[in-house]
Amino acid sequence: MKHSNPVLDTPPKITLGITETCPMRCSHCYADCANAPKPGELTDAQWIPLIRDLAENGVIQAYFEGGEPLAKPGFLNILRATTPLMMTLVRTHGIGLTADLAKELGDIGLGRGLVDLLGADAATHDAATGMLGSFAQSTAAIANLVAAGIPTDVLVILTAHTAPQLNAIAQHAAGLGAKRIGVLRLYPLGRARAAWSDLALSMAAQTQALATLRMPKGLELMQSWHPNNKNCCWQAAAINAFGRAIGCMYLRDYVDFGDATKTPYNEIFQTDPLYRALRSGDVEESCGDCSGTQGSHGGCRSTAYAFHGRWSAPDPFDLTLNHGVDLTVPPPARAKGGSGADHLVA
Amino acid sequence: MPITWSLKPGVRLRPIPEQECCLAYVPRPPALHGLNLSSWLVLTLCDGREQREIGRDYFDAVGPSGGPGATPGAFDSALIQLEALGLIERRAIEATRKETA
Ligand code: SF4
Ligand code: SF4
Repeated sequence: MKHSNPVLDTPPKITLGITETCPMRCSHCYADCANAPKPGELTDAQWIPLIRDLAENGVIQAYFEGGEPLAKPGFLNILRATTPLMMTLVRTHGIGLTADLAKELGDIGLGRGLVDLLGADAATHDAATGMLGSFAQSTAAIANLVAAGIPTDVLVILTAHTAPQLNAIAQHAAGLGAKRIGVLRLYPLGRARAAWSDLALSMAAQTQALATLRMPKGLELMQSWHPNNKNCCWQAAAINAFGRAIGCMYLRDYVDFGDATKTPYNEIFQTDPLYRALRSGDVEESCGDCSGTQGSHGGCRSTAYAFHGRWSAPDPFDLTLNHGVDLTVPPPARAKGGSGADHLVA
Repeated sequence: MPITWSLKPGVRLRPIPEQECCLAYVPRPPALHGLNLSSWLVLTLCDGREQREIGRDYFDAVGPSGGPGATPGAFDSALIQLEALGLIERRAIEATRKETA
């Protein structure tokens, strides 16, 4: 296997998809989440020793996402057990994130909050989340986190609905005291694949939306389109709500590297052939600009696989690697693979 | 007055030798910092000893390799940066230690 990407022996950072429970019904939900916990989700009593074990084995940052982490029973216990050991980040829609809860999160030592906005106004955001009043709650959550002294980012997934409002969302985020705005690509995962025709933008429309973004003073931008298109797989580690090692939450529909409650994560990281191949940067094609600035190759493996069915394919969300792929056409469903070399190149 | 340097309580280090860097986590207020080789070396030498002893060990380690970490002032500025990041703390040496010397 050719190694073009930076190499890690074991992962220092991990994403924990702590639950697939959520009170909302977003049309794009990658977790295809439900109101009640799904059977087999790890409990807080199972997460805590797993997280301690990860810390003992070199993980120093945990990024919690879901579902909605704050809807996870016992989530504050999990966070309390984690903050002495690792930097923590929580991605949330902020439903029920009151000033009191924000203060409690600050007291527990939460390192960063990331709140999703799916519009700059209640009509757009609430239509996307399927929950009346959710824009007001997300807005209040951002303000509450900021007031509690927790550095807070706003995340926005670039869709046909959010693109026309990108500047207004950035203004809104800045006005609430957010530090950064992360503009994220849409992935054909979960419900987003089913709603793809309604949500997805062409490459040209995505580029246009990013080009017209005018950042308010003091707000930083995070985005991963060319020439910032990186294959962050080289450092990726993630465990889903059921304790399965999946490398990255954006691979959730495509891979299962094994049971992280039974096999040490580092062992999975070092031995699973597909996981190793995804991290290696051994891709068919790579863009000089992006690899020059990002130190990694070929763009995102999730969207490469989704659109081409080959793990080593070019990432069609990269301007120079798109090669005419129409991103508004939903990609076919891909069978969920186990680990194994048979998935490396179709 | 001479001073000693040590790691702040609660700070956790995550060496990544394969990338020639180290991550350092400060729980309160929470922050994760990336350290280059020379800052990482200074940090690991801050074990409660006096600054001049730490400095001597630092230059013994980096001196032969040359490079920016070996320039005069590199050690002092690394100490100042690590202190500003909340990773190390200083203590003035008590008079009692001097009296017994
Ligand atoms: S808030 Fe997140 S988890 Fe909940 S429905 Fe929306 S996308 Fe899914
Ligand atoms: S699948 Fe994409 S988002 Fe996930 S780690 Fe790999 S490159 Fe990054």
